[in-house]
Amino acid sequence: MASNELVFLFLCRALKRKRLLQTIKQEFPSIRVIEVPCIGRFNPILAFKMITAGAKGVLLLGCDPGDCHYREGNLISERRILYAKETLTAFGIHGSRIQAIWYNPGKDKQILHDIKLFLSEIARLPMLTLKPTQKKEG
Amino acid sequence: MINWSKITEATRHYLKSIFQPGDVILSYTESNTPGIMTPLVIREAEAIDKIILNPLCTQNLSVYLSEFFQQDIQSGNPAAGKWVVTVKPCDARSVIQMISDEQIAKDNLEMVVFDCDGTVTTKSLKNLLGGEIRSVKFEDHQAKGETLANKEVTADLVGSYQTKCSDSAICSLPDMHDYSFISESNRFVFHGSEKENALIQDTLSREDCFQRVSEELSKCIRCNACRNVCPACFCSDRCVMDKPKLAIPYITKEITLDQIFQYHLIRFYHVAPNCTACGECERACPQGISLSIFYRYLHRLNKQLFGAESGSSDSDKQKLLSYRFGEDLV
Amino acid sequence: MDTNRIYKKDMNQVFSALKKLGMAVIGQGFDEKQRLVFKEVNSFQELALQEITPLQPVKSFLFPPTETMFSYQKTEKGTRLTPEQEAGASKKKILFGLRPCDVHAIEYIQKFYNGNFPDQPISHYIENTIVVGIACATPSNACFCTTMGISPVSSSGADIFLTPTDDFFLIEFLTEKGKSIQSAFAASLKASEANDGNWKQKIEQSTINSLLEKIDVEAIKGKVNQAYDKPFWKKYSDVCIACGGCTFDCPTCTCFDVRDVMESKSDGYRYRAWDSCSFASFTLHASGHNPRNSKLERLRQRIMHKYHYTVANMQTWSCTGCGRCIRVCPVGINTRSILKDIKEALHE
Repeated sequence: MASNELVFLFLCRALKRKRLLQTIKQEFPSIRVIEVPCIGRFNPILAFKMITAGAKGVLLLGCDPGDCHYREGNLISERRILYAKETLTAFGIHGSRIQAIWYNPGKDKQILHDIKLFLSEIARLPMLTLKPTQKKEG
Repeated sequence: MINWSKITEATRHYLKSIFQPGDVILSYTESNTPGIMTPLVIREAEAIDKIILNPLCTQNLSVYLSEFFQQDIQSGNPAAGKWVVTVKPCDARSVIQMISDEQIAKDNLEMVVFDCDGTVTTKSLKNLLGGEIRSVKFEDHQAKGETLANKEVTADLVGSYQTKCSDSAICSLPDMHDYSFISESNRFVFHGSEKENALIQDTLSREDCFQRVSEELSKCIRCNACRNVCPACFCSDRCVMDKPKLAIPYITKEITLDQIFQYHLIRFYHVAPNCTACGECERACPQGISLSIFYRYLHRLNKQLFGAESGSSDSDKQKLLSYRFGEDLV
Repeated sequence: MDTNRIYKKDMNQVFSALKKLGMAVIGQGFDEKQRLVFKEVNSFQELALQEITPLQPVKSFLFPPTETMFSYQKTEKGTRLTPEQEAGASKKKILFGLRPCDVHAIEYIQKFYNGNFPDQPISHYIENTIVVGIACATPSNACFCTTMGISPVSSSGADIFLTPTDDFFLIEFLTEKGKSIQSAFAASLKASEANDGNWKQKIEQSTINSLLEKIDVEAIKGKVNQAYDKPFWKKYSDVCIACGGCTFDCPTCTCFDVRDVMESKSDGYRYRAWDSCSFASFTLHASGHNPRNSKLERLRQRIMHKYHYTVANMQTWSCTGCGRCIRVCPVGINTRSILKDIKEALHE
């Protein structure tokens, strides 16, 4: 799997279900799932590293605002994610490569549907080739 | 049109009236390099007369404040008096932003804003005066220089000011109720001529914008000057770019295009909520990269999201540590 | 030593001949945003030799800002190292039109990297580089080469040396390396005329008149460390922002950092990249202790290195007075002022 086909999925613990993970692994082999205790743990500089290394996109799945197990994690993350998307836009990279979607726990079918939608959206985006361009002299 | 000698005189006069032993004043004076002023740290009242204010006062002095305050805290020996800083209106917002970010304490600070109708960089001044100069003086809106060949050259500054000086979103005062403003009219007025300078994120297609950004950033040599000169980058020694112990680092020190992008993405993301578009990053860059491409976009974003420019009020809460329920941003 | 004339109108022929010899020609010119830089040029017209020297130093063509040294793969049988061979290292290049300050800097870099343990990649680069010096007729207001004992028309260290006039250059082939490409110039060489010997002196005089006053640093040579504890350092370190601009633009700053990157559990690589003694992490130990914890110590160290430690260890100043540190400093710190302060503190 070339690194520029990968999509990273940050999944908050409250939304994680064994069957969901199995289905994602089967149906979407280009996705790597990263479990975080809460979507508030997500640090955009990780997403930047992934995107500059060639990943197609980063999808963030967290609980509905108001339903966070840790009370405010998802609320705090909203501005952070917005700045991350806007920073990418400022650089001429599509901000839609980072996408956050909020759910009530248990909505597995909805989650799979939205993942498929995200993959089809970013499939249309051009490939970002920043690596490996070794800077030579000057 | 402002009279710089009068502003300098009035600022010196005011500082002398408020200076107490133990205070430290941060202002500007002439450097030994023609075409650039240098920041001046004053610890005795007699040195106040060394202060000179003119269109070459481009440095944003707020960048020293967080360092000085941190030194106070670390040394366990807080400054005996206040930190007094003389700033231009654009830089005043950087000071206010630092107060909002809790990097400096309002109680220990006296901010004196002096009126300004535009600053020029050393490079623009040299272009204006036709080359290398031995010395330069300012009178009204004119720069009078002496070239290396001992010739006198005079030129009008209007039209050569920094780009930010024609942007009323950047040349704007914060809420001044606890601070002093030195000007001949005692009122702040936007002196620049508003220039329409469209953002490339709006005018170019996404691919062309990325192309342009790649071209600019390919010149980066990772010298970190932009980070070090930035008042919003107050992590200083704890910066994520300098973390040597991580085996799989967020960013390496390689000067390759992907790491250069990573550096600037991280940096602009981190300063996005606090950036006051002072433009120092662009001026300090030894490679002349147009960093305004990024900070102007983020500056406009902040105004759109929060209704006011960054650094407008010292009672603002830190943007990334707070939220409004139901904001529905993403 | 023979001196010939070569007319500027004939230079393009020379450039084509050099290209046929497989050489890349690098000199100062303007980029697409009108910034003066060192870049590869294809024709004589792309050069802007009448301008002051670019802010960017030419060292990036001899000592790349980043280099992967080797990659490693861990297998059951052990670890395999694969050294990286930079394709650019073997490419022959000509640095065309370097001022004496920059030529001296290359001499210093060569001496530095060929010390006890020759730096193979950099030696390789330098071997494949021919230096064409030019007498300096357009200094910047920050230049102080004469202070550092370098004449603006000195040909020392150059393989070929040019003296510019309005219509032609006087050209001298000084070393074997320089003579090895004489064929590219041969067709265009013209005989020099009777008074051509005066041009260098004329340029030297005019340039010296344009420079700011020479500081007598011979008086403090070998004694600069006595200024270590003097109070004037604080005046500069108070306003220094440790941006590293002076070190990255200095043609004789040679420090680099070496780091490893793990790409996976078994693969990775080691790279080196330019580093700066102005950075706080430069002397940071693994224990967390930092012997140069303050800006004052780092700024002082930089000056000591350029004006004392290399004098003591290598018997040479490592500053060539090119003035780039002064030109790039965003807060107006002036190295000449520091030298004057040292002199005053030592009563010299």
